[in-house]
Amino acid sequence: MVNTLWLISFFGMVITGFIPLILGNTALNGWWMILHVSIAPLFSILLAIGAMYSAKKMGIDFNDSPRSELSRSIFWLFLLLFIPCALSILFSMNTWFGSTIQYVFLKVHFYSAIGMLLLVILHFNFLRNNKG
Amino acid sequence: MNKNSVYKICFIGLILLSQGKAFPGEKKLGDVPDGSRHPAIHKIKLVDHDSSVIHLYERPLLPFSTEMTCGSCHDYQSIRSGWHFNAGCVENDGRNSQPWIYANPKTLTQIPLSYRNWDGAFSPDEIGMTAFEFNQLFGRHHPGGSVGDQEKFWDKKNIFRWNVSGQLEINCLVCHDVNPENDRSQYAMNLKKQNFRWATASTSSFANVNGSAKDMPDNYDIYSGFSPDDSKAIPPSIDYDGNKFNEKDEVFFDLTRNIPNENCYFCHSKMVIDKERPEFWQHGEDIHLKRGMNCVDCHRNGLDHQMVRGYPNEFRDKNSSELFTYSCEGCHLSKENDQKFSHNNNGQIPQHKGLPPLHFEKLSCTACHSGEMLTNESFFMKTSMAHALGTHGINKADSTLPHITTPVFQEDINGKISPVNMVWPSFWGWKNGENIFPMKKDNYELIVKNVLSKVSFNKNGSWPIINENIISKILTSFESQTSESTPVYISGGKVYAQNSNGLSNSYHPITDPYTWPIGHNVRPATMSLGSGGCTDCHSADSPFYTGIITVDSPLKTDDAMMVDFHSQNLFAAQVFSNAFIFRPWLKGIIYLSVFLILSLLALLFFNGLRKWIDSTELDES
Repeated sequence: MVNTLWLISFFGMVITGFIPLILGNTALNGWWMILHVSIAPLFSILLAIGAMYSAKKMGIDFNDSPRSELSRSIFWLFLLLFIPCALSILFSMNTWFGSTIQYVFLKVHFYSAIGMLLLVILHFNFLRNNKG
Repeated sequence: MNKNSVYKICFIGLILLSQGKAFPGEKKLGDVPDGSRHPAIHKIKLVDHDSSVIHLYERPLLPFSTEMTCGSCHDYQSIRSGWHFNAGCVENDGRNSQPWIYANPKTLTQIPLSYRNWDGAFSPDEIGMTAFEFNQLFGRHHPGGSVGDQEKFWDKKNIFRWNVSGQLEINCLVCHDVNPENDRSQYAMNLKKQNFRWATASTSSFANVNGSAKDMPDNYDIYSGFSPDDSKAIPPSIDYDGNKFNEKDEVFFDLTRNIPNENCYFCHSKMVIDKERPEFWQHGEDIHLKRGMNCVDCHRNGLDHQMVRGYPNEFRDKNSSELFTYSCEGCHLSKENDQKFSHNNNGQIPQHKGLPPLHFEKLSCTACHSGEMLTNESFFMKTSMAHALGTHGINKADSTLPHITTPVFQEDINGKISPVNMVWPSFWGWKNGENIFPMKKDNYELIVKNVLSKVSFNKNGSWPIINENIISKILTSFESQTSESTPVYISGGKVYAQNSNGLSNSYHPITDPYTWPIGHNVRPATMSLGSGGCTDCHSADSPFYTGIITVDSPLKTDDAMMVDFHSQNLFAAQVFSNAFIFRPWLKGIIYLSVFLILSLLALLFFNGLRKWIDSTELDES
């Protein structure tokens, strides 16, 4: 249930984050921004809870796991990318860094989000191939 | 050829040589700097507009001509192409700037005028104002040249008046004279008297102008010195202070290339009307000037007097990448923009800590740093050009016309929100189909004044209190003038027209307010918008969105809201602003998530490490 919810919220983040850029906007603003920011805490907390539920299954203790090595790698890499993705935007919301670093944060957020999206696509592709 | 003719030819040749007309393109003596930073001493002979050197014993004494006096050593033709003198002569006038505003409460008019092709401004010709009248009325804060000395702008109606008044040459002294005795208000007074030829000389410390060309008949001849028909009228004349002339008939002009700010202020002063700051000392000055800079440090020019205006797109408009360095961004973000400087005004690099980069795409620098601090209600502002500040006999009341509203945030052509000054046009016009054009002022002034004869006018020079019935009456009075067009009154963003049901109003683009961007005063970072945090703008009641803008009109109008002008969705902006209440929660939840996930990753790392250590121990055993 939790996994389904975070996956839905993840796609919510993807849609509100990338669609405006695909539509030609140079940056996120207006309603897209409001939606993106509204979904963000939901997504992150669901991801954290889901990760805790799945950690053992994904071999956190390096014991035998029912999941394949690729599946586990995707899971942990996804969590790893979440850290810069979240921290970059959290730090940019404080008055600690100037505009030069702010631009770097935006890039980090953008590319780590792309990385997370690619991992999810890879994961589903892997699942489909396994079923096939 | 007799001896006299030879002398004449030689004399004319010498004159042409001295003015550089014999060899056009040759640089003149004063136009080639030798590298010395010491100011040039201007102890020079005065030359009148007939190219004759002025001697005190000669009669009639004529005023000196800047074209002939200054033009002896400086290329006057090149100078007259400069920004201050080229209105109506260039194809690209760049972004909007302050217009001349023809305002009169007695005719209910307030209309922005310019010879430049600026969006929303009307050409003086459109309201039937001749170049002669324009100079007489607005020349007070114009440094001459332009329509004042170019015959192509002159109308046949006033051709004899031009002969009496003379040309309005470029007034070099208004900017370059640093003699504290230079009286610029004399210039305004002499223009009112149509003493165009005498106006520049009247400001100098060594000349005194009397009389009035306005009182002279059209056939008055300045050389003959004959008394005019009207014995009470005093013909224009000039007296020079003989003590200021040396034995060679030279006078000293205290001139400078580095124009002091005070000289710029004669035409570029402004005063914001704020009831909470009634005293003049309570108003600030541009931070650059406070830090010791001069206006001309950024607004530079060469011999051609093409002033750097410093707006963001100027380098594109003039196809000169160097001009970018004189914009806010060019000077303060030079490293980011990889600019090579031809000057040493490398400004401080702003940190903009905590400011999301999106703001640089959506807001101009001036949005946060220029103009008045935002308050719940916009201010009225008085300016030298609009209110004749610094001249004699003006109405000093706060609410005197024209009414300039400031600051208003508006989306500019770059899609960025910028602060602007705003003036709402009010004028009488004709509507023909969908087209509306202003009435000639001679067609409406008498009629409007007649209808308003019983209305009491405020001494403060503001609009009289009127109602729609009066507008109806005036419009009805116009109806007999033409059957092809309908008389209309444009005011407060509406077109008022008389029909069978009475007075109706509608919208037309011509009613839109004229706006021009605010460049100055620049406020320091500690007084910028956002220095109080995100909620300076991102709060439900921030004046950035909900500030009240007065829709100025003699008729009762509803106020507008700031957001109406900057193409933002107020609901979205307020939802976003309200989200700031939950921002600490949002951040807290994400920080918690990051902590949990980091813990899992740390656990994974340490488990992996333990596993690896165990495996290496096993290998060893």
